[in-house]
Amino acid sequence: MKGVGSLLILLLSMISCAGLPGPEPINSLGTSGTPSECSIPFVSNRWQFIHSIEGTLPNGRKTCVIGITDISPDMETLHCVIMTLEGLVVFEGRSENRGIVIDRGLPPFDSEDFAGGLMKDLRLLFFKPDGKLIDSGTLGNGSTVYRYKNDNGILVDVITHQDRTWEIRQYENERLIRSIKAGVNRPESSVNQGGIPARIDFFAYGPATYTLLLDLIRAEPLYK
Amino acid sequence: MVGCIEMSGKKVIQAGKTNILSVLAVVLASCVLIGWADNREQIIKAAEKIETIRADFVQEKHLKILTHPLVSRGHFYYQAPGSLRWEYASPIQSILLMHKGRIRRYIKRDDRLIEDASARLPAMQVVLREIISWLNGRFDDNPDFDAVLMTGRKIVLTPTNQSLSKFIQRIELMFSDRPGIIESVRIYESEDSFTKIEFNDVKINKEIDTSIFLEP
Repeated sequence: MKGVGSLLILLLSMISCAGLPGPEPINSLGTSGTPSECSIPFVSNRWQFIHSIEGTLPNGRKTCVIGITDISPDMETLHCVIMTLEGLVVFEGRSENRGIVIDRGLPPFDSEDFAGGLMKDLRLLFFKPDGKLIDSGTLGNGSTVYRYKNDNGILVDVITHQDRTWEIRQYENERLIRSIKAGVNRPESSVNQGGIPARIDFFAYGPATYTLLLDLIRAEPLYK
Repeated sequence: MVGCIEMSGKKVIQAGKTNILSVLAVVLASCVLIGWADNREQIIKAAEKIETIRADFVQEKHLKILTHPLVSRGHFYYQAPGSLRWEYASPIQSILLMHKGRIRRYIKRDDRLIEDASARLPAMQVVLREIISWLNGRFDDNPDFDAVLMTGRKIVLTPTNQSLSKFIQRIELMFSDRPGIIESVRIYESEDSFTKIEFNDVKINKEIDTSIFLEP
């Protein structure tokens, strides 16, 4: 009977944890091969994305804004605008070679800390991880993992699934600090025709835990 | 702090509190601003005759970064003295409700309604109190803008203090030739960043069920 109880607890634990990102990096990348560059989920050309963003703040309250992001992977530059549903721009900034520039910021979106954190999150979402590709492999379920590590020891796993949905997990000192899921467990909002996810779930862990749910409103390639 | 309104392009409204969300107040208030007028007295007189307003709106956001404007559509309802429903149908479904001083805002997502925390902000409470004043035609109660009544049924509102003018350059209200109707609102954050709201199918003093101001 005691054994059944333990099994029940184990099953309940498994159910409750299903779908949650692991707190530590995946130990085995399965069938490991020669590391090759990861292409999905990162676009290679200039794009403009417009998302509705539902944010859940550390106090549990929710709020909704619109985010406009221009990305230029070849130049590794970002241009971002955040505005209210009514169209009031509360933040506009750029991440360029010379650093972060705040073009417009209304409190509480006017601080350098906010801009820096935002640009870091956007870089994680839209650009290939910085640092070296140190390993890649295929998991038992057919998903492919690409592992990057930068000079500061930050580890990033890019996991692409067979249905073309994907995840990004970022670790610091082997603790999960960011997790991004595109279309995972949401077949209805999987990926659209252009390979751009219709829904992205962004989780930030740590002292200031927050989640961002991004729904794509518009995606357009930008041509020079 | 009550300002003054004068005719023919002179100062209309004077100063007071500054608030980011005053912009929202102006947008919302503009929708029900009782508009056809050549002077302050006519505007107030027209306001007194308005019991309800119902309209559709199209909102265009123009920004330098955008390849083409971001268009939102929705519905607007007002019932005197202070009930408001400002509802976006696309691209994001959201509803702002104001009734008897209670303010709530909801976002629709995955067929569920989520209450938006921003409606609880003290700043929002201040803003919406201002809206009520505007709804009753008391433009000179608004402390944040100078207003100039232009020819061609246009009012231009300009922020009176620096902290407000950091994020709003001016607001232009275009009145319809039909008394009591606002045709469009343009909110300029800069010359190449502005929001344009156009109202259509405007119905005045048609019965509106109070429940739409109570429940999303």
